[in-house]
Amino acid sequence: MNKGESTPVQDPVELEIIRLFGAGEGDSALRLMMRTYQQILYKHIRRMVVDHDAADDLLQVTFIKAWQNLGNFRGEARLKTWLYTIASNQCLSYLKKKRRVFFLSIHDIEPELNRQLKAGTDVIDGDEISLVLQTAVLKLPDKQRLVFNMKYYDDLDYETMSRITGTSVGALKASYHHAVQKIQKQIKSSD
Amino acid sequence: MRFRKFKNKLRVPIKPNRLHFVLILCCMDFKFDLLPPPNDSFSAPYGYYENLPERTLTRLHRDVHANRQPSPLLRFRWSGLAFLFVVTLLIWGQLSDWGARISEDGNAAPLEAALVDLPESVRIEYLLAHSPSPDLQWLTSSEMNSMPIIESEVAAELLEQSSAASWSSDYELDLIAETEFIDTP
Repeated sequence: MNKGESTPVQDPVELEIIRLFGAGEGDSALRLMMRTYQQILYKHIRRMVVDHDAADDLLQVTFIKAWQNLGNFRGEARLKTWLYTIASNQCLSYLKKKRRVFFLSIHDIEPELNRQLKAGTDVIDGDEISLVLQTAVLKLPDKQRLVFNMKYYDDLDYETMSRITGTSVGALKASYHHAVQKIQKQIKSSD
Repeated sequence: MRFRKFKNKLRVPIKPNRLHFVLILCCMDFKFDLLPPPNDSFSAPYGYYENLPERTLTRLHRDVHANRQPSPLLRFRWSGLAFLFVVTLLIWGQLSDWGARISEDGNAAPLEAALVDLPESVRIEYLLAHSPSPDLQWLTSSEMNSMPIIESEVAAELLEQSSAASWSSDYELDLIAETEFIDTP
């Protein structure tokens, strides 16, 4: 993502999606929106919830919510940033609900996600270090994990992340720094 | 032999220069960053993205049909019906209360109007005869000022009537007693 993300840049695809929606062609707008953003959002959600079925469900819900509220989209940020925000909130709500259902404490969902991660090794690409890294990332708190994923994998700049999470840039930098330190410590201990 | 020749060809003499020092410094700089380069670990199943928009659209239309707003009564069901029942009872009670008040006022107003048209003495007499004392509150202050004279007259009349009544009742009792005495062996 480029550094000019903080200013609302309307690229042609986003303008076309909004135009289609305004013209009453809602289905076409949704199709175009999904074709454009489905892969990056799927990966973003999948990294948070690990399970493919949950990621599939949350991705669909994200697009449905975006489609339903596209009329209220003010264009102050990019559509991609807005979709990231919806997806991130969906992920955090899902994890919170999952904890509530299983009566788990705040950090006890990590073994469950870890189990899913190891069970799904057939769909995980990369070498062993990737698995070790993912295991270490899963030990982070949800919001810190969200910040780490957005910075490390999606390479979003802090301004965009600030818009997505509603947190200050300084707090995000500190959160990412702490996350990296924890992961490094985890990797060292696993060696 | 052939393998040895090939090995000799691959051998490159390494002479340290500035570039090597720069590379070593860079390696020292990144030595502390143990994170591997980002490699996206997760991948979707094959063909997942192809039919995703269609599945989402199907789900969207199904949800829209499923979540069509029902009528308020169906939505609230029993709680709504219970609420309506309570509201009806309250309104009914309030209405009956109002009705009772209206009927009382409706009965009282013509009577008062009719009494005003009557001569004063007749009116007072009527009030004393047919209504207990609280009804005297209907009278105006001017009427109340004239009350003592009229009251004394009427009171005298009433006293006469009551004494007559008491006499008659005493007389009757005596008669009964005499009759019983006569009948008693």
